Amino acid sequence: MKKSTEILIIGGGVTGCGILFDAAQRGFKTLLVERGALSNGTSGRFHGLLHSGGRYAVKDPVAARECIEENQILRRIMPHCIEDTGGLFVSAPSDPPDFGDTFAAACREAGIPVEEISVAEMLRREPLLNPQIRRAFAVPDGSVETWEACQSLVDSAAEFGAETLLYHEIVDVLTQDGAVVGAVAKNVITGQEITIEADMVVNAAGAWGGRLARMTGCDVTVNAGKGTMIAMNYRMVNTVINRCAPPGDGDILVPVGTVAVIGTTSVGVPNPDDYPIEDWEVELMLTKGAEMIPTFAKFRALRAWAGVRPLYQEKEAGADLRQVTRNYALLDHSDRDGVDNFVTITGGKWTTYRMMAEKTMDLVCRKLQTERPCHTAETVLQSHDPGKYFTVGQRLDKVETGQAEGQLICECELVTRPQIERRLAASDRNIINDLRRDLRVGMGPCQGGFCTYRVAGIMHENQNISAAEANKALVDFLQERWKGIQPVLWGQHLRQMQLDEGIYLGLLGLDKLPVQLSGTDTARIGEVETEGYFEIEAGDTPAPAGGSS
Amino acid sequence: MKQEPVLDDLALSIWEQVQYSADLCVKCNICTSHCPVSNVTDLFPGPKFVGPQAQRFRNPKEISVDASLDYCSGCGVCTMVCPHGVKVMEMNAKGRAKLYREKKSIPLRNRILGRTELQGQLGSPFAPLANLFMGFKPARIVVEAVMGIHRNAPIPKFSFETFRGWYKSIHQKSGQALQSDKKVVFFHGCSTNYFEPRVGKAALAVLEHHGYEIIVPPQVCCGLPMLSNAEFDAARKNAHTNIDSLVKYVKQGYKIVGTSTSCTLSLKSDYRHILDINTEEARLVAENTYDICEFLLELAEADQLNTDFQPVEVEFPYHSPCQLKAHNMGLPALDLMEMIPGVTIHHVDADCCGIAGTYGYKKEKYQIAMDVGRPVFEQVKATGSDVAICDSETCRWQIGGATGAKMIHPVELLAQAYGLQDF
Amino acid sequence: MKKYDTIVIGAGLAGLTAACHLAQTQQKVLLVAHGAGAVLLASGGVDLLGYQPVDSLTPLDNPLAALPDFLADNPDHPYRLLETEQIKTGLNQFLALTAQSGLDYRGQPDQNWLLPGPGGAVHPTCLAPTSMIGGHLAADGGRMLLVGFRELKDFYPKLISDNLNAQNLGQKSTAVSINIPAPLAGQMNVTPIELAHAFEQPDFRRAVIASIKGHAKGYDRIGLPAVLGLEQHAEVLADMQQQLAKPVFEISTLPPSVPGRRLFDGLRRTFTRAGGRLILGSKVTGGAIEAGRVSHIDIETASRSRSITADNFVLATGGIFGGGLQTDAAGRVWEDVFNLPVRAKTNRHQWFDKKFIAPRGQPVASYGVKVTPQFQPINGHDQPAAANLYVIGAALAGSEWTRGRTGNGLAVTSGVFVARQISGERSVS
Repeated sequence: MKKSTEILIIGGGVTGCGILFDAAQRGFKTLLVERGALSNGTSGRFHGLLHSGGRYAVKDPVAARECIEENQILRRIMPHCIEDTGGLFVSAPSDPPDFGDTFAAACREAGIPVEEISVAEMLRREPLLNPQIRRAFAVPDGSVETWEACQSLVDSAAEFGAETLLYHEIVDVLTQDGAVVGAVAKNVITGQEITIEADMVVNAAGAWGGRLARMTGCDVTVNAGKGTMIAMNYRMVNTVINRCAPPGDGDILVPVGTVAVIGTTSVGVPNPDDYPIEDWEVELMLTKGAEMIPTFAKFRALRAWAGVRPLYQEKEAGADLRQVTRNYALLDHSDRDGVDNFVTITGGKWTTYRMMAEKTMDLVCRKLQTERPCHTAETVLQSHDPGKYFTVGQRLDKVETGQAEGQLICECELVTRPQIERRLAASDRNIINDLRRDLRVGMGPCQGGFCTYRVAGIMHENQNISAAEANKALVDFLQERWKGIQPVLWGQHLRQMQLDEGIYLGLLGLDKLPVQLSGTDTARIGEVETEGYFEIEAGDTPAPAGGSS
Repeated sequence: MKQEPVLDDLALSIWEQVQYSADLCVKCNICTSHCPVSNVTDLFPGPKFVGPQAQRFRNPKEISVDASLDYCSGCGVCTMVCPHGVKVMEMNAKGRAKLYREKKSIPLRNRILGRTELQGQLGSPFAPLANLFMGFKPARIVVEAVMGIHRNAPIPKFSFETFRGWYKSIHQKSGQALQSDKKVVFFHGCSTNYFEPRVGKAALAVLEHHGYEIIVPPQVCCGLPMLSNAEFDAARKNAHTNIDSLVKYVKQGYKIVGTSTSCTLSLKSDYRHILDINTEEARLVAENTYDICEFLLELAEADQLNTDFQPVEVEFPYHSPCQLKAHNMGLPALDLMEMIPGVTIHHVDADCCGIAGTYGYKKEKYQIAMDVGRPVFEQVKATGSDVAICDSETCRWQIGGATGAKMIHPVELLAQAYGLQDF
Repeated sequence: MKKYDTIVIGAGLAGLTAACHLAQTQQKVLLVAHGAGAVLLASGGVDLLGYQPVDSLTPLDNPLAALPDFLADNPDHPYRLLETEQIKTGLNQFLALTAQSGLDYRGQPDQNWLLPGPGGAVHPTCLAPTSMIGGHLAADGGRMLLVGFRELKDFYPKLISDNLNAQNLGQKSTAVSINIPAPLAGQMNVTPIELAHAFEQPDFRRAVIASIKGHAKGYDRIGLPAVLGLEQHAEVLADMQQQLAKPVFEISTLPPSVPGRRLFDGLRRTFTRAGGRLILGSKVTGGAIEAGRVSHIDIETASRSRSITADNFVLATGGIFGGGLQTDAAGRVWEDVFNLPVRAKTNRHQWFDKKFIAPRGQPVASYGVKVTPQFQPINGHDQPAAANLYVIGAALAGSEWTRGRTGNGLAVTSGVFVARQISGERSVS
């Protein structure tokens, strides 16, 4: 199968999606290829912070200024993907007391609105915070709904004719006379290959960008800096809480939707697809959380996961990965490596995706010798509720006011049957994890305890699949959930998982049911290894399910 | 974690606020399956939905979006059956307060229903007239249309003689009031004071029979009706007034006894867990408050209960109110009544009579309340008895209204058995 | 302080069984529990043993016969403390108790029912209500019609029937979904309990039957989700079978379980009618063992702690799910009332299998309190921790139940064994 396009973008994280929209809006024919689902990589695995820039103000004023500018732009163009939580920088007893003054001055210098508030006011806003905190500074941080944002960008790009190919992995980049002319993408589910001709290939593959660039013969080193995070079941704070100190592990707590995310660590890992969540990381997050909220450990940890930061390295990296640039790197491979029609964008922060996309497309335009200005800063993306920020209560509001009609399938996250059925109808994949990403099915306290069964039942009714395939979808999703839960499984959450086991084993007898593997093979779950359809999770190497096993 | 962090009392008391107990919910739906309201109406999605589930979507900075929460009756069965410690009822009460504070204005009807003290102050002096009016069907139809109080709702009869009035003007002046070193503080509550002083008189007689001098200190409505109708500020004012008045006696070593299981529950629990009053005084009052039967049963356990009962040959049904079960102390009334020779008690085997304080008086909730209470009414009627027993006043009025039975408080049966007062 | 003959802690199936039995022997019994037990969530059947080995895919026809092999593979399972006769006694007592509670359970210890579960897997169970045994999957099973309700999200008849058919169990099933009639029509979030209430109304039943009748021709029996009434379940089932002129049976749904609720309510009623006292919603915060005996327990009431005592105490607080065993981030596992020694690993990595569906169950589910042959907990010196304290049910070490399907069987048999011991029906050797 063949396809032809002007700009081929590889990587469906927020940067790739941003480039897709920018390119399409500038009038290019564009195609985005991503080996998993949108925001499968780093974009879907970070702590969800919309930077005010405060975290960079002292160490990296340039980055700080970029952040606050983009923060203000994103609030205009995609408010429905942003929760206006505000942020606080707090000086815990163990933090250097006068860092606050340095911090505030640096913020003002960078154009970041900052206001010191009294500790009493801080406690009024966030009663669970440590009353021993000495100082508190308010800044315009926010939290982002990354899947919502990527989908909005892709939908808006589609209005300009852009195309997206998900679950396709680039297995080869095609070159001719020292220029890239296209790539070969392989459907990870069916194995079918597509050859794509392109005038320009943009490598937006983030932490996997080095691997991709090397397919063209370009020597690009992108280190993977793993950061582990824990989602706490109860949204203990409604404001982003940062430590007012030089950057360190576990210094941020972000309310993201119905949970609060504590993060993070910074550990170099050799392989961005295979890394463990380590005990010391979990313990550190809990300890650090307790410095901000004394009763932190009494709350329930829901699951742990890690993302890998793409850290571009031109020279040898030092021991502390935080010193390796967090800024982005935009590489023109004509100059750098003598390979034409190929650029790499890597590094950077979610908050500055739009600016990175703009710069990338400006370079692409120069290389293609055409002048097409960027309009993404002024273009408000589509949303159901224009001009309104995301609020954590909006789903509940829709259900309470009757706007969300139908059965609640995932009760924890208030996802209805019509929503699920629409998503299933629009996709040829029967992967519950896709529904999780799009709709938040299974992301609440019971981690799929009830909804997974219901979704499998609906899938089986609607999607013309066999019971064995439905069973497999069910088992795969439960296994995917289990992986992230184990590192933080004790106390009340362990009681939850025993209930889930009681349901799936005791009531549903899932361990004794046939499961569709590949073709017409069926086997009982107890007899074979099952892996998620496509999950880059800790401890996994991605194995296309249904492929060569 | 290698070491448990040291948590001070303040941190713990904030964490113990009921909304954080939503963290414990495992979504088992045991609460919803036992909810008397959600099982009879689809207007209420159930305690799990409006409680720990919705709590995860609540941001104090955002306007409340809860609407169906208003149909929670506050009976507390959910909290009682939850195996994980989620304080569902309490969390709902707080959610409702926020809802009314922000989204709806509290209707005049709710304000009036919440002010039982005011009702009493206005109604008792004109009891004959007020009772006539409220018993007059056309008048009730008008009241329903204007105020939204259902025409058939079981409005109790005002008593011209209030309990306080009787206590001060008659009992104390009669010279028969017992003086003793053994004292106990009596919290009468609005129902005993304005509607059923005979309950207070029976309690007083039984306590004096055991050698206790009764103190009736200044006190106001416990505030529960206001709390249930989302008027937290007004309820808190009453709470502080009561705490200030009662704690003096607690510090002198006296216990507080009440005949309304709702009033005593407010003192024991709601002041702290729903109104978030966490002072030392509130704690002292809570720890030293007793339901009258609880108090008498503890006397029995210490071999101090007079067992000079005369036989009372009766077979009565007894309903244990939701707000009695929420005390988590078992059924002391049942244990006591079964000590009386000749008494056979049929314990009604259904959770809730439906009235839930002021809930069942509201036009839009009346039928729900009657549907909830049906199993109770049927069991009471099935005994064929024309008398039934219940520790809570609103439950007495609800069951009495639905079955026609004469309703008494357990202490009235005891008073009869002691030969002190016929019921 | 208040004194009872026996205090049972925990209102799950083990606690309720023991408490009922004791109350009926004229004991003054207190049953105190933090909340209502997991029996409300489970299928309502008493699973004695379903699979041996536990990862076998063939359900057992004869659980009793397979027990010796099961115990050889699982030497720590508490069934090892019960002789065959005691298991039979336990099951028979359960049958007697449930009969008194207005429930009709059937079964024998040497013959499992093979019932269809809500996923279409086979659920082998020893004692089951008559409303469910009509689904027994025998070799000559004929044709089954499985009826679901569009509004009921906790039951998918097509998934069940397709999975059943894929397992070659000797019957053929077909699924159909019908609309729920008034007054619950269109209520898309209806719960099994609400449906069960509705089924107790004759008009509602008539309308449902009218919908089913059109599809029922040619089928030998009809399966429905377990929503056929609560208190009046017997009348509902009889009426359905009479009007449809075919056997009708119930299939479990996701929790909360209606058959579980019937069982819980029935046993509760039997207990209180026999004079038992129930305190629900009260956590037992501690218990004191002095001079080799439990002297008292402390319970939380609305505003203060209360101490109560008894001659005997039965701990039926469940395992980790029940709340009887607590765990924390540091890897500690402890018994929450008396701090009895618990057999457990303190490295959390050893608690779990990499797979959610673990071949032999999650290791952590086997942790619990070790006991003597009389079910008394053992202290650090391998002696009974207290002469008047017993532990039953899922709090026992070795009681992992998910793979072998043994949960309620252990609850009932250990509950009856200990109750009989306390009441003197059997001597303590």
